[in-house]
This record gives sequence, C-alpha cells and structure tokens, in this order.
Amino acid sequence: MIMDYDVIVIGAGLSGLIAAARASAGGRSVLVLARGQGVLALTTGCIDILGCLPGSEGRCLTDVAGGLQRLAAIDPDHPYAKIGLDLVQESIEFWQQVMPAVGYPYCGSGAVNYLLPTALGTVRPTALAPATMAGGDIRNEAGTLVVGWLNLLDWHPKLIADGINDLRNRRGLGGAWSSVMLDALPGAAPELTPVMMARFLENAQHLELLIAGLRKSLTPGTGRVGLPAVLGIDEGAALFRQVETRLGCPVFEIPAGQPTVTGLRLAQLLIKFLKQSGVGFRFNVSVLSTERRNGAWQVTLDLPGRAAVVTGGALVLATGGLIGRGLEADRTQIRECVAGLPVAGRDLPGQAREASGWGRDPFAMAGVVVDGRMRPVATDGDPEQYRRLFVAGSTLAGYDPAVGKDGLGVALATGYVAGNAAATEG
Amino acid sequence: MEKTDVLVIGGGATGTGVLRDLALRGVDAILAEQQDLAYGTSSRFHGLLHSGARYAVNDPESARECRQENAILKRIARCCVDDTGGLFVLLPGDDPGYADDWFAACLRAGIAVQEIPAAEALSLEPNLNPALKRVFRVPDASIDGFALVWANVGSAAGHGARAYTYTRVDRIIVRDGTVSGALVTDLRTGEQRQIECRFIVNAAGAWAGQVARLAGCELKILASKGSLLVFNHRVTNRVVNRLRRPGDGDIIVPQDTVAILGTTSVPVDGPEHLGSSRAEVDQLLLLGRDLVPGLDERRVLRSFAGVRPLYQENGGEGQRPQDGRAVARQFALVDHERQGVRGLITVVGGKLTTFRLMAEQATNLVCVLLEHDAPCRTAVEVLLPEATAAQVRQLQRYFSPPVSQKMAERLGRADLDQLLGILSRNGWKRQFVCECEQVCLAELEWRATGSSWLRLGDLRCRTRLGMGTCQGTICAARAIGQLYQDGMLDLGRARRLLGEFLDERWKGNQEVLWGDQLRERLYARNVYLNLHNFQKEADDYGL
Repeated sequence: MIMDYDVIVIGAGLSGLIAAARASAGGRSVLVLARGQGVLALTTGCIDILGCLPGSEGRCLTDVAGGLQRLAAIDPDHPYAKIGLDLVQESIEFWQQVMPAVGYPYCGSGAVNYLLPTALGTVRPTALAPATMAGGDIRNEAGTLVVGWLNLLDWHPKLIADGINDLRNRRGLGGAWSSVMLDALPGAAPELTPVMMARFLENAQHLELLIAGLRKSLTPGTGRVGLPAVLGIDEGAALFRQVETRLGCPVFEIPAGQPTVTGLRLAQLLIKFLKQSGVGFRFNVSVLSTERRNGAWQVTLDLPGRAAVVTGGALVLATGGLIGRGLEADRTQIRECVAGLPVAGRDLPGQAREASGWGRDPFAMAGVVVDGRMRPVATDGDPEQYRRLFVAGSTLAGYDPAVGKDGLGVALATGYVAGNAAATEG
Repeated sequence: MEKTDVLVIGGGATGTGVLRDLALRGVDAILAEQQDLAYGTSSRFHGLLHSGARYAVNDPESARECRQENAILKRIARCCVDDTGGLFVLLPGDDPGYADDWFAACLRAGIAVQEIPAAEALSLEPNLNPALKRVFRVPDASIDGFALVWANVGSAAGHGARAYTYTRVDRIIVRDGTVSGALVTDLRTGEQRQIECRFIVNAAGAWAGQVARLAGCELKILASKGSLLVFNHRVTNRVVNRLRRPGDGDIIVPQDTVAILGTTSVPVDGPEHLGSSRAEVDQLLLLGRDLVPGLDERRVLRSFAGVRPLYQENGGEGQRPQDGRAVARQFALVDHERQGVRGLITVVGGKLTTFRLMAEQATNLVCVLLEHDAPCRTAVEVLLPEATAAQVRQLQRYFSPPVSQKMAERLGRADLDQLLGILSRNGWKRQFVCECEQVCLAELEWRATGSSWLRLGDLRCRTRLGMGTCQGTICAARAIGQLYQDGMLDLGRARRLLGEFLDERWKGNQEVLWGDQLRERLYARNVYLNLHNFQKEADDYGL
C-alpha cells in the first residue's frame, strides 16, 4: 500500500466519492478511506438539488434554479449559500461529464425538477435522475402500468398507482395509472428484497422469465411500465435497456426497500470507475487520529493487529452525519468523530427541544460549520490546525435533506468544492 | 335498543376479566371501551406478573393475593405469560436488615423464595452488578397485557358476550334510584345509542371517577404516574427487583425481545396526555445502573408512562398522594347503592396480577344482586387453549422450527387455525411484515379482518408490529401497503394511519434521542420524509 498521497478522502458516500473524482480529475493522487458502505445505498440514487424550500410544508419545487436563488436569500447558513450558486452549477456540469464516463448517465439539466413516483404512491421532486428512473415523471400522459410480484417485499403496486392517480387528479390530469400483481417469480426465494431480486435478475435466464411475464401483462393501453428498482446492480442500465427493447415499451424504475438498488448501483459504479481512474480505496478501516505535521496530514489507521499511518497533502472529511456516524451523540453532546471539529448544535442531546420529526429537525441541522471553500470555521484555538482540511456532505451543518430534498445535491456540490480545493489550493 | 343484563365499562384487564367471568357464569354482558382494549394501565406497565414478593413487607394481603393469582395465571394464561422467574438483589449500600425482614415476610405470605449464591446469580444474569450482596429467587414472571386482555375478550365472546371498542359512555341512565342503561357513542361513526341493562360494572381504572360521576356518584381516585423505559434487548432474562423498600427504578422486566425498566411515581391530575419527562428518564437510568452497571449507556427505544388508579376510601379530599406507593395496592369494590344509585358497582385499584380476583369478587357481587347462582370458573378454565403439536408441524411448512414454536406459543389454538387457513390459501403471506417481532402478513391479515380496529397502533397492540428495534421504520410502510393492497383501506385512511402511527412511535422516543436511537430516528425520517416524501398534512404536494 502506498503511504503518501496528494489528497486523502475519509468517507465513501457521494460527497467523498465526488471529492475524490474531482481531485483525481485535477491530476492528484487520491486515497479514499471508508469504515463501511456509506449511506448512498439508503438514498434514491437521484441527485436532488433542491426539492422543497424551508417552510414550504412539502410543496414540490419544479423550478430549481429559481428555488436556489430564493434559498440563498432566505437561508444564508445553507451550504449552497456558502458555496455560491455558480459553483453549485459547476458541480452539476461536472456530474454530467463524469456519469457518461461511468457508463451510467443521468437525465435532467439541473434547472428543473422531475416529479417522480415513490414506492408509497407519493411524488418526489428531483433534478437529476438515472436514465432508468427519469421516464417515470407523473406528469407524463402515457397510460402507466405498475407491476409487482407476490414474493417481492416492500412493493405495493396498487398503492402506487392509486396514489399517483389521486395526485394527477388534483392537477386535473386524470388517472392513467393502473397496477397488476403477478405470481411469485419462478425460481426465486419466497421472500425477496429488491436487492435480492436485482441479483436474481442478473442471471440472463431469470431476466427472460421476467420479460416473458411482463409481456403477458401489457395491454393495448399500456404506454409505459413502472417497475420496482430491481434491474441489476453491477451492470448499470444494461438490464433496463434490455427489458425496454424486448418489451418494445418504455420502462422506468421506482426505488423500493432498504437498501435501494438505485443507491447501491450508483455507489458501486462510481467506486469501480474511480478505481479504474487510479483512485486508491481502503474499505473497512477506521481512522484512529488525524494530525497536521510537517506540512502534511498524517492519518493513523486501525488495521488488524497494528496501526498504520498514511499521509496526504490535503484531507477531505466526508464521514457523514449522525446517520452515517461521522457525528456521534451521547446523552449530552454531539461530536465530530475523526478530527474533533467544533459542532454547531453540540449540546442538543442534553437540551429540551421540540421536534415532532416532521419539520426541519435540529439534530439533522447540526454539524460542522465551514466557509465557502469547505474549510472548518475555528471557534477556538489555532486556525492553522485546520489548514488544508476540507469538509463535505452530511457532516456539515445547516441543512436537513429529509425536508429540503437536497441531500445528494449538497453532497455533490460540497464534495466538488472540497475536492477542487484539496486539488488546487496550497 | 340493545339489551343486556350487565354493562361493563372499561376494556382493561379488570373490565375484560369481569366480562369473561360473567360470560362463563352464563350472565349476558356487554363491554364498552372508549378507546381500544388495553388502552390504559393494562398496557402501560412493565409487564410484571408479581410473585407477591414486592409487597411482602408493606402489604401482606396483596402479597398473598399476588402469590395465588400468579400461580393461577401461569396455569390458565400460558400464551400470555413468559415464565422467566425473578430475582431480588441486595446491593451494597442498601439496608441488609430489610433483606431479612423481607425474607421472613415472603415465607409468611407463602411465597416460594429461595436464596442463591451470588456467583450463581451472576452466572444466570451476567449483566447484574457484580458487587451484589445477596440474591433470592422468586416466581415472578413476565406477562403481555395486550394479549391477556384480548384473550379475556376472546374467551368471553366464545360464551356470548359482546365487547365494543371506541364506544364512549356519555351518560348512565338512572330511574328511581336504579340503573337502567347507558347512552353510548360509537366514536367511529359519531352515532349515539342506548344500551339497556340492569347492572353496570365500572372498571374504568384511572377513568373510574369520571364514569361514577356519569351516574352522579363521587369516587375518589388518586392518579399516580409511573414512567418506564424500553431497552432494545433483554437486558436480563429474568425479572430483576432491587431488594429494598419499593422505590423508583428498581424493576427490570424482560418482555419478548426487549426489556422494561420502571418505574417512577409522580402524582398527576388525571389519566390523559401523559408522557415521561427527560428528568424522569435521567432518573430511571441513574437508578437502573445500580442494578445493571452501564445500563445508562445501553440503547433505549422509548419511554412511556401509565397511571396507577389508587382508590382512597375516606376522603382524600382534594389531596394528592405524595407517594403513590404509600397507598395500599389492594383493590376496592364499591356498591354505589349507599350513594343512592342501585345497580352500579365500581371495581378499582389493585394491580394487573390480581385482575382475575378483582373480577371474580365484582362478579360475585353482581350475581348476588342478580340472584343468579353460578360459581366462578375463571380460575380453572384455560383462558386461551394452546397450540397443538399438529399446528406447530403445519407452521413449519412456512417457518423455521424456532420461529414456528414462538408463534405457536404467542398465538394459541384458535388464532393459529385462522393463520394456517390464510397461509394455506396464500403461502406467500408467510412474508414478515415486522422482522423485529416476526409478524407475518397472514397474522396481520387475520388481526385486521378478525377484529374491529381503528388505528394502525391497534394492530400493533394485537401483533407487536413495530414494537421492536426499528420502532416501525420498516414495518409501518409494509403494513399500510399490504392492508391497502388487500383492499382494507382507502387512500386517505392509509395516509392518515401511517402519519398517526409514525407520530406515536416518534413521540415515544422524543426523550431518548442520543446514540443509536437518535440514529434510528433520523434514519426513519430519511425513509419516510425523504425517500417517500411522505407528508402528514399537505398531501397534495403543492401540485
């Protein structure tokens, strides 16, 4: 294992992977360290730039560009406001360049939102969707058939079709969605999670059975087919294209269950691409300490039976938030786990607070405060201690993706800026 | 107009116990409950089936009652009882003299108490404080209050009784000083109707004072709140009591996959809208770690609170109990004839362990007044017939042997027949809707079609759905999705039930948000608010 890199990224969620991609594209040697899988597999895999404005009570935003302007004006602590909207735009362009090279292109300009169906029969705004999902916009007029299988968990096609028809009716569009429940997929387990089904379908014969079953359920009115996101993991959109071609009918995926196939697929494809681009990866490794010494970051790793030190000219912290364990809370305090950075909202666990769970959540908003270059803002001590240290993704304070529908968008933008800064500054 | 001999008000253990007792004696009876069954104290306690040992010193009469009822329930209600056994643990710093007094009092009350070596206790329960001084075994056990109440109603219904949930009693009709019926409202439809009856048994627990007032009678009920914490695993496999004068935070009860630590004792004005404060949570953790070191570092799933309804015979005029534990836990049977209303009886106080005895004595009184001569059979008739070996074998077609065994123990013969019927028609309904508590789709279907329910929480109480580690994150959407898919809900109701269910689960962990439980809560928000963009209120999404 090489011990010296230009840039060390801690965390393999989207923000870490994007920081690595950006630094690597800038010609730097990059090592990504990760403790676990990252939480990308717990997302839809769509790049949500901005879905809802704060206080809009769940109203879906369609005009993303306008929404961003508004957000920057009313919410100066939001990571987008700190970065500046030009860099947010640049990160979107970077994404649109990278993903075709990954072999898993995304649709959308980033300026407007798709309105995509969810597995609960609701609608979800997102700006950039994988080609396998983008065809599901609920405003599309095509007669839509949602298909399910009895042995698939976390998938209720009637709830989806009826839920979307209800929303379409509110918009005066008329209900054009229907559903069909097919018998258990032959040869598959009696209880399949979507990920299990995706693995099952990576076998060509199994995929044939699926296509044959789908063919039989098409009616003359079927303009497109909605499937759970189960069309393979490793091969990107290949199975999706095959199903679409063989059916002769547009198809789209809806993420279902946990983890999601679309999240898992994105994570695996990005990692594979970055490895091929020369980025080093070390998984299942915990960081014991980070220290700035002799003009470089020394990162001490907890390896089986020994500790090892890797050094990097710059360090990107993309370790996640309270869900991803970049932040940990005990009964009195929240702390940042790797570098001990100051945390806004540190004392929340011990304080009285009102949080129903539905609105912006103080715990979700907690995190590390940075400047526009993703550098931690020192609240005490020597600012030099954070030199060439950049923070990205859900470790950051100031946004709540469950409400704003801006999780992977912030990960992309802040990962891009952090990777850029790590590759160019100093 | 509906007619019956006896109207029982209150669907907790006592009320359903009375209903069953009446039914087994051949008396026609109806039960009315304003919420779902076991809404009140019968589900808001630690689930301890007392051996009587806890009361041996202070309240020997209660101790003897508990001892007898403990033995009876272990015999007739095996499906609801996990016979874990219990330990009383003397800790350093606690009065060693009390231990000797307590031991003697247990023997006097006839409780099978046995001292065991400290080393043996620690090998049985390795999480216990290793500095413990003395340990005694007692026949405490863990009991499922929901299952018990439902079993009572099931048994009563088998003998012709009727039970109406979400049916509020608005007025007790008294003519010439004698009860003649009640006006009730079905809270689902808003319709009011009259039930004609000769007697009313008020078994409304913490609400008993309010019910008595409907007939113009005064009844002093002191309410004492007890808060409890649910841990995400069985901290101990036996009931553990701290051996000292009964106080706060001194009982741990394993319940299925979790463990419950309780309680506090705080005087409150009434039974409604209770929660646990953060101060109570902190206090319980502080006390609990004396019994189990490091308990305060372990994951707490939620906190909840229940009310002990304590009857004070003379006065208690405007007075609140400083310590609910000072009031005797014996129960009271009040014939309101002395207040000028014939035919109204209140049975109140006591504890879950002695519900059957309370019901028996209340029913005895009713039968005397009815001049109906029939012996009580509730102590000898099995409450819920157990699963047969053949049923367990059939279950094993769908589930592994340990899962089948556990399901069979939990459900009993009649429910298993229904479950197996659904599985034989739709084998795929073996799928688990709740993986934490191993509730399959077939069980959900049977509970949803075989009983009257209003909220998803009602199905939770019947199945344990959402009571485990994930607290509904995975199973709430699955349950709603399947109920919808099966045509049991319309869209608006599906959404309302889901929002309500998540609200209830999230309120319960509001005061325990740190560590892994905070992560779980944020993860649940990610699933529902983010991935599903589920909005509780504005469900038109601004479209």
